Order: sequence, then C-alpha cells, then structure tokens
Amino acid sequence: MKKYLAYIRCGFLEGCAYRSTFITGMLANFIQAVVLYYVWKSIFAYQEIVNGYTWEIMRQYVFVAFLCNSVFSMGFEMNIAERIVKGDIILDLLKPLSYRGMLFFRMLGTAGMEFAVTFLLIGSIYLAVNGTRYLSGIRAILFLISLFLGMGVKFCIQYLFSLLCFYTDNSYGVTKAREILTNFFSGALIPLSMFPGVLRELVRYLPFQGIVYTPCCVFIGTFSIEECVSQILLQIVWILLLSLAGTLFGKKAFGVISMYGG
Amino acid sequence: MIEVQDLKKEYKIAKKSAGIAGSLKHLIMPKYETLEAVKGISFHINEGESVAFLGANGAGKSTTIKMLTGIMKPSAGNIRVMGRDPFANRIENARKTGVVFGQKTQLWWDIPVVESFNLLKNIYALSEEQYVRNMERFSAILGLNDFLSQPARKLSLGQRVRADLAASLLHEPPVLFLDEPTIGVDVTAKQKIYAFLKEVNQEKKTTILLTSHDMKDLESLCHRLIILERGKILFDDSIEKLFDRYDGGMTLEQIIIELFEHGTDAVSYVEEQEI
Amino acid sequence: MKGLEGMKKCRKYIRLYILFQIQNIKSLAQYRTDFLMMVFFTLFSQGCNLGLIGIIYSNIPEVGGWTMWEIFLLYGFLLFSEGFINFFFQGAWKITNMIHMAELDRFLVRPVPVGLQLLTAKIDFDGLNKMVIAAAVLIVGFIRCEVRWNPVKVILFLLFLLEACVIRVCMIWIASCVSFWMEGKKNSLNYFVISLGEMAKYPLIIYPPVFQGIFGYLIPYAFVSYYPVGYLLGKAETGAGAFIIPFFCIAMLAASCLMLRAGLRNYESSNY
Repeated sequence: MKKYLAYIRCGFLEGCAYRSTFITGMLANFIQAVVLYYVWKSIFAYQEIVNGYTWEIMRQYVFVAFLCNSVFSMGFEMNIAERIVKGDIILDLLKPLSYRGMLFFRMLGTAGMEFAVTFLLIGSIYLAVNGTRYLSGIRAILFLISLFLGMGVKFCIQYLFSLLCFYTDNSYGVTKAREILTNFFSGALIPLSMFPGVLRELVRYLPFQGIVYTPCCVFIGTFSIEECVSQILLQIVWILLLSLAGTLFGKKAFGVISMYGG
Repeated sequence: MIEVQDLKKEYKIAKKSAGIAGSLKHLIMPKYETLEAVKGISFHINEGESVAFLGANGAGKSTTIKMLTGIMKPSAGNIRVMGRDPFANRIENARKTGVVFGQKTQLWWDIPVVESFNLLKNIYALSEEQYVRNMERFSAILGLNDFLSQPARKLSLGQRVRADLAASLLHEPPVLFLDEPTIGVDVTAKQKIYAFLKEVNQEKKTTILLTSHDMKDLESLCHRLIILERGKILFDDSIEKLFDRYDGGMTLEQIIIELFEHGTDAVSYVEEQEI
Repeated sequence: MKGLEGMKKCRKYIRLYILFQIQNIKSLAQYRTDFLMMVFFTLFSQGCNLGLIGIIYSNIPEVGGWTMWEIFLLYGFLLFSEGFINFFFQGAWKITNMIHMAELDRFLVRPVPVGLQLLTAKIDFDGLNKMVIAAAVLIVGFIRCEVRWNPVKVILFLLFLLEACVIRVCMIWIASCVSFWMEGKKNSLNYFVISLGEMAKYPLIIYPPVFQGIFGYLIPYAFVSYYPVGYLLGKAETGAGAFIIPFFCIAMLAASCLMLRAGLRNYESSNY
C-alpha cells in the first residue's frame, strides 16, 4: 500500500509540475462551457422549456458538467505513447507492481490537484450564478460518490485507449479521438436527454454517460433518489466490465512490445 | 575583417524564490538580476587569420560567437564583420559567413544529408558549377559519400560534424565561425576535421574563428589565442608568445591551467603590453 | 529598379517556401504515419462537433436568429482557416519550441528571412482533411441557405476566406512570439487563442457586450467567421463589419512583423 501512496504523491506533484498543461486544457473546456452557457441563454430567451429543461436547470448543468469533465482531464495516452517510442515503457513494466495500478494511483494524485483547482473556480462561479438554493446534503454526498466513480470509468476508458498506442504512432490522434468521444457521449457538452431518438437510446448503452451525465443529474436533481442509486450501481458495473476488457486487451498489447525491441 | 569594440552582453535572469508563494510574488513584482556574460571586450581580426577562443564554461565564448554571427543583439558596443553590423544586416552577413555549432546540427533532421545540401544550394543561390565543385572536394576530403543518403538523425556525431562543416562552407564564405565543433568527436574524426580546416584556411584564405576545449588541436590550426575569463579578455596574442611567457617544458594545456589559476598575473601581462 | 528587385526577391522567397514545404513532406514520409487513421480521426471529431450543433438544433429552431445551416457556415469558415494553417503555415506553432531549444540559431545564420523559415518549420497533413471537410460543409451550407450568388459575391467569398486564414495565422503567430519574453518552456497562449475560436462558432450577438468587444476587436475572431458569413447571408446586424476586415488583416500582419522583430532583439539563445 505504501508504494501506491508514493504514486499518489508522485501524481500530485506531476499535476503541479504540469499545471500549465492542465490549466490550458481546463481553460479550453471552460471557454466551451461559457459559450454553451450563452448559447442556451439566447435559446431560453425565446422559449421557456427545451426538452424538459428550464433555464434554471440548464445553467446549473453547464457548470456542474464542466466540473465533472475537468477533474482528471489530463490524459496519459501521450505520455505512454512517448514512453513506448523511447522504449522507457520497459522500465515501468519491470517495477514490482501492476502497471495499471501505478497509472491509477498516479491519476488519483493528479486528479486531487485538478479537483482542488476546478472546485474552487466552479464552486465560486456556481454560487455567484445560482446561489445556495438548489443545494442539498444527501445529493451532495451521492454526487461525490458518483463523481469518483465517474473518474473510475474515465480511467478505464483512457487505459483502453492508451493501449492502442502500442499499435499506432499517432498518439495525438488517439488522444483527440478519446477526448472527443468522451466529451460528446458523456454529456459534458449537452444533457444526454436532449439527444434525438436513436442516439438517445445508444448512449444509454454506452459507458460514457457515467463520466459526466450521471454525477450531473445526481447533483442538479433531474434524477430521483432511487434513480441516483441505480445509476451509481450502473457506473460500478461499467467499471468492472471495462477493467476486465482492459486486462484482456492489456495482455495482448504488452505482447507487442517485443516488436519494438526495447 | 572582424572588428569588435567594447562589446557587452547582459542577460536578465529572473530572481524567483521557491514555492508557489514565490511564483506568485514573481508574477506580480518580478525581480531580475543582470548577469554580465561579456564585459566590454575589444579585438581585431585580419583576413586569413585563424583565431581560437579559449575559456572555461561560462566565460562568454559562445555568447561572443552568437553576437558575431548576428544571432543575438549586443547590449552595448560595436561589431563590424566585413564592415557590416551582423545583427542589423543579418541576411547580408549570413550570406558571407559560415557557422558550425558542435552541439546542434544545421542540417534538416529527417531528410537525407544530400537533400539538405541541395536546399542549402538554393538558399545561398549557388550555381550548379560551384555546388558540384565544392561537393566533390568536400566529399573527397571529409568522406561524405558514406552517409550522404542517410537522414541527419541517423549520423554518428563525427559524421554529423563533418556534414555540418561541409554545409557551412558550401557557399565559400570569407569568414567561418565554429563553436566547439569537435566536442565529443573521436580522435580520428577530429584529425580529419582539423586538417580540413587548416587547408581551407591556407588555400582559400578563409578567416577562422573557433572556440574549443581541445587545446592540443588548436595548436596545429590556430596561430592566435584569445583567452576569455568571466567575460573579459585575459590574453590575446600568438601561441608562441604564450609559450615564451612560461618555461619551455610546459604544454599548452598546463600553461592554460596555470593562467586560470593565477588569472590576475595574466591580466597585468596584457596591460603591460598595452603600455 | 527597386520594384524589380523586390519582385525578384519575392519570387525567390516563394520558390524557397515551396522547396521547404517539399522537404517537409519528404521528411514526413520518413515516418510510418497512419494517414488513413488520421483521416478517420479528423472525420470523426469534426463529425462530432457538427453533430453537437445538430443536436442543439433538434430541440430548437434557431440560435440568436441563425438557423442550423447558417451556423454550419460559421463553422466552415473556422475549420477551413484552421486547416489552412495546419497545412501551409504549421510552423507558426513551433516558434515557442524553436526559441527554447535554441533552434532559432540555425535559422538566424542563413540568408533567408527568419519568418519564412519559421512558417515552414513544420507541416501537418491533417490540414488537408480539415480543408476538404470545411469545403464540403461550406458548399452544402450555401446551397441550403439559398444564397443568391453573383460574380462579386463569389470574389468576396474567396477574399473573406483568405482574410480569415491571414487573421488566424497572425493570431497564432503573435501569441507564439510572446515566448520571446517568457521564461517557461511552455507557452499556453497560442492554445488559449485557439480555444477561444470556440466562440466564433456561434453568432456574436448572443454574447454580452464585453465579450462582443473582446472578440470583435481585441482577439478578432468575429472577423474570421461572423462578419463575413453575416455579410454573405445578408444579415442586417453584421452591417459594415465585413469591410473593415482588410484593415484588420493589414494591422495584424504589421503587428506580427513587429512582434518578430522585437522578439529577435530580445532573443537570448539559451545553451541547452
């Protein structure tokens, strides 16, 4: 356990060291959130309800979604790809602990840093825009649980994508594709219930909703408490399924290393 | 050929205290320290001379070379290379000078060396005849043919420096600057390089100015030494004069160690000369 | 006499530009790049971006008085200019890198303008994909919006597109040149400028006046998409904005040149 604590610490320090990358990424997401805020604002100026959402709910959604999306926004695909190309990945694999475990705990540390920064920023903006009237204790707790699980889902997805880097040297493309995939299908940009027909059905059966949409809905109250619990359980199921996939794919992918000759 | 008067270069270095608080403080009220890398040096180099700059790390050699080549703007003082200010007339100056940095290549990293040469031919607008003549000559002396078809990133250090050297001389510049050209290069390659430089210097009357740590090789190539220490000139004269100052049995290397250790004596030596 | 000399110089530089770019293409060929994969990724991500707009519009008829296809036109202008930079002037992105690795040194000892060498320092084939997608979006968009074309409008359209590219290259250029005065190895400013492009995907009027001011004049994204498209669509609110664009282009080109000059004066080639 002690060595994993060391990795959390290491991840936290890394997060601090690469804060400019993080801040740039966060700013980009933030600008997107601000743009969507004004787009929705101009839409709600003409009509009161869009697909069941009122302006009151929507303006909470935009900020909470941004918070969920920013925590652990730094992908590690590029990092892994770089280590594969340089051959440094061998060094990671030689360490007496699971590669995925190491990545996970490093991520936890980094996410801690990111969470602190985004939480301060978004918390204050949220309070300035919405005040305290929508907050409730039980939902806040469920939200934190759901947010944490959402990070787990995101980690599993990133891990799967980073394994792709063993097969292609276009790590930038892999990272971008993953980013866009998660942004689009997780509800980071737009509530999933606004998706039209078939697409709405599709996202229901994808893991991405667990990253942003689930915690968001838990917090702003579009889920009833029972729904919250069942959705949180669904997140856990997805984490289990995705980590199983990660293990299977990982076994195959690490076999490729010999091709690079170290 | 090259005239330098009271040349100075100051760097601004941020003074930051450690930690986040320190960074924040720096953001609001940045504090800078000025570091004088070159503290007012003057010298004069004639056509066809070959001069070596010697000095410890941080003595100001590279900074001086970078100002002479027009890469950096001097903080104060005057430089004339063939009558021109190299920073203000950068393009004109570049047309008439060749530069080799031992630490990094000027060749295109990912394309075969021969393609790099071809690009340089276009950049310097060389005639086909001049290009072919020089390429043949350089290939023969420096043995370029072995690796012309390889991309620069695949060359060994010795090969790379040889290719860089050829690249910098392709347009037959009257002045050649070399900044630690043979750093890390093995002995045989080094010999080839210095023999080639000597030939260029003698046949084409190319003025050569180089910095190096390899004192032994300098002896064979350069007749004049400029020794820098902390941005000032300690010694500027022929190598023989330096030997004369010390007992005959000492090698150049020993003399220079001696010189650095008793720096003040040497300064007084220069001053005596001026009187 | 002087004009003739200038022409000659110009021709020489264009020739060098082409030569440098050909070398870039050759050096890319040295690597095993998955071109098909890149095409796929780009198609996918741009599809998602367009899909997002589509989803918003599946719920509502218009945003700020603009229909979906009109918004797609804004997107087309943005994407085209982005692809244009990627393909023709991707080097503008590398300035920061060049400064901190002291790679600028080798550019400075060659008798070719530094700006030209910087702009051609890199090439990104993805730009081609983006330009093709953008062109398709623009064509379909203009058909759907039933724009009445006449020769003047066609010329204006091409001019607008060119101006959009120029403005965006200059934006990245200026943001990158700030690195001359920064100590850190990273300059996030150019990413920030790119991220702000998100704003230009929607009509300027939906933003509060402060933002309108910023994007209208300080970081002139409004001139990349909003004003030209608004003019072509005959939107009243965009007014005469489209006719100021050339002045903005000239001002930004001048600012870019000045930034580079001032930066080079400040350049301290580091010894890394």
